[in-house]
Amino acid sequence: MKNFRTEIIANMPVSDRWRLLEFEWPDDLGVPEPGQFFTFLPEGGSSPALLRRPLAFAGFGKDSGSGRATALSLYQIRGPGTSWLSGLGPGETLDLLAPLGNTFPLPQAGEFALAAGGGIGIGPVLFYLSKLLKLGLRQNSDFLAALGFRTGDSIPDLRGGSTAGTTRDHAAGDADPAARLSLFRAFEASILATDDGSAHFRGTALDALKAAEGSLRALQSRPALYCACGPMPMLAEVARRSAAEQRRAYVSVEQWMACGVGACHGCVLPARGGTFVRACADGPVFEANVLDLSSGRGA
Amino acid sequence: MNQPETSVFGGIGREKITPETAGSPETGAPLELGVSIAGLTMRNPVGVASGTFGYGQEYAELVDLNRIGALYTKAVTLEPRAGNPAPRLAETPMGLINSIGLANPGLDAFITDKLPYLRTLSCAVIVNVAGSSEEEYVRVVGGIEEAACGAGSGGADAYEINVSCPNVSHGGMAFGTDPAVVERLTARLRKLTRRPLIVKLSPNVTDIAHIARAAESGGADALTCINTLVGMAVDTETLKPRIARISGGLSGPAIRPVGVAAVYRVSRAVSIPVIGVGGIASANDALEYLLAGAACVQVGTALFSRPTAPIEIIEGIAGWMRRKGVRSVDEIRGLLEI
Repeated sequence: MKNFRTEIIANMPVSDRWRLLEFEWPDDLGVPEPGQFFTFLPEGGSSPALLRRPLAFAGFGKDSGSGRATALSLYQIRGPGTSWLSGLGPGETLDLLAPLGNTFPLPQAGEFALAAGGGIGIGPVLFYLSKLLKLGLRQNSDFLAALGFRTGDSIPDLRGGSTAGTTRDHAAGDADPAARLSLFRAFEASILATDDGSAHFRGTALDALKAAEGSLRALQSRPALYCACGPMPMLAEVARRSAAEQRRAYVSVEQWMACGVGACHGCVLPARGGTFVRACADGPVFEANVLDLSSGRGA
Repeated sequence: MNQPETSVFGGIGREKITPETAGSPETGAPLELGVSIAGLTMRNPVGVASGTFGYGQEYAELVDLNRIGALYTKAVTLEPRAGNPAPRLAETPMGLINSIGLANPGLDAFITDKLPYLRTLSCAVIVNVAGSSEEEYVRVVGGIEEAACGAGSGGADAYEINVSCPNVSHGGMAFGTDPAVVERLTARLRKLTRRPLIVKLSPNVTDIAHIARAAESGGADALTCINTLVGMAVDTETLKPRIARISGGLSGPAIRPVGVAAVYRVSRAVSIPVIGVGGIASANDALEYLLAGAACVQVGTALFSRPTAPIEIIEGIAGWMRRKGVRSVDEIRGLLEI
C-alpha cells in the first residue's frame, strides 16, 4: 500500500456515463489483483468533494515493448468526485492510495468458476476473467462468465485499444496496450445480458449463467465457485443460489468509505450474527454467507 | 485543580520524548516546535484525532508515526462494541457526517493487542476513553493504569476523556452536556491516575465555557475543543436519512470556524491548556487554532484525504514561524491581535 501520484494514460468514455481510466503503475509496488481497489483524491478548487473515492481495478498489464505497467478502472460518473475525475486527460496526474483490500480467490484444481458482474460491478469481474485467461483457463471448459446491464444502450464499448485519438498511446504510435487488450479479451469471453432484453440474453447476469450452465457438460459433477460483483440484490441472489447449490461463493461489495485502510470503521456492512465487517480492510471480497445481505442497507 | 506531581510522563516503559527543533536560517536560533501539556512532552504541536487514525498500525505503511506530535487512539470502552448500523458516513459540503458508534475491541483486547504496538512509537500516545456510565470510564482508566504497572507493558502517556460523542444513546455527549456530571466524572478519574487527564468537549451545548470550567474544577489537566457537531443529511430520492442512525457527528472544514471560536472562548475561561481540533487540513488552519488560544492541535478528517497531512502541517507551521520570526510554538497563542 502506498500513497503516490500517477500519470493518466487514458480516461475515455466507453458508454454514456461510464469511463475507462488507465494510469501508470509504479515499479516499486506489488501489482494489483482482481478484487482489490484504490482510492483517488479529487483535488483543486473547483472540486466540491472532500473524501477520497474508492474504485475497483478492472485490469493490469505490462507492455512487452515499453515495459510500462498500467492499471485500469471502469467507473460511472455519479457525483462530484467522479465528475471531477472524468475531466482529467492523458498526461495529467492523480493522487492514489493503492492497492487496497483483498482479492477474489482463484478456482482450485478441478473447480469450475462462475463469474457474474452487474452494472459498474463488471470491472473487477473482468479483471478476474483476464487473470483466469492468463492462467490458461478457457471459457466453457473452466469458467462461465456473464455480465448484466439495464439496456442494450448501456453496454460499454471496451474496444479501447482501437479508440483512436483519445489516448496518448495512439499519439505515440504504441499499438499494444496490454492492460486494455486483456480487458477486451475478458469482455469477449463473457455472456452479455440485458434486463429489458433489448440486446443479447433477456434477464440478469445470474439468469444468463443459469441458462448457459444447463447446456454445459464440462460443469456436470464438478465443484464450482461463484465470484460476483454488482448491486446488493444481485449479491443476495448469489448467496441464496450458492447455498442452495452447495457451492462456494465470493462477492465484492461497495460502501461509502473514508480512510480506506481499516482505521475509521465507516465503511462497514452488516454480517451474520449481528456484527459488522469493514468493506475496505476485511473485504471488499467476502464469502457470501458471511454477510447479512437481507437488510438492503448496504451500498 | 490537582496537577500531577511528576513532571515527565513520556518515560514510562520507553525513552523520554524529545521535543522537535528546526533550524532557522534567518536568525540562527532553532525553532522550538515541542509543546508540553501538563508535563507531557509532545515533539511538535500536531496530533492525530481520536477515531480517525485507529490505533496507529492501520496507517503505519503510509505515515511516519514517529514524526507526529501525539496519537489520540480510537475510543476504548470496557466491553467490545460492534458500533452502529450502516451506512455510517455521509459527505456534505466540506464536511463529513459519521455515526460509527464507538466500534472498538474493548479494554482487554486494547491492552493485549493494541497497546504493545503503541508503546513502540516515539510520539505521545493518548488513550481516548468512552463509556455508557461513569463506572465504565472508571474501569477503563483503572484497567489501563493497572496494565501500566504490569510487567513492563507500559500504559498511556495521557487520557482523553470522551464525554462528547454524539453517536451513542447512553453516556458520550449526554455526559458532556451536564457540567455537574463532567466535574464529578473528572474528579473520580483524577483519583485513579497521575497522568494528564484531557477532557474532550462537545460543541453541542449552550455555553462550552461553562462545561470547560466544570472539567477544570474536577481536576482536568487540559481540554480538547471540539468534538463533532450534530448533523443530518437526507437523500431526497430514497426519502431516507443518509446515515442509518438518522443523525451523526459533523466534522471537516465546515466546522472549523466553530472550533476556532470555541477554542478562543474556552482558552480565556480556564487556566489549563486547550487542544484545538475541528476541520484542520493545512498549516494555516492549525495556525488559526494556535492563534485563537490552542496549545496544540489535532488533525482528523483531513487524514482520510491526505494521510501525510500532519507532516505537511508541521512543516508549514515551522515555515510560518520562520517567516514571522516566532521562536516557539508556545509563543503563538499570545500573538492574536484583538
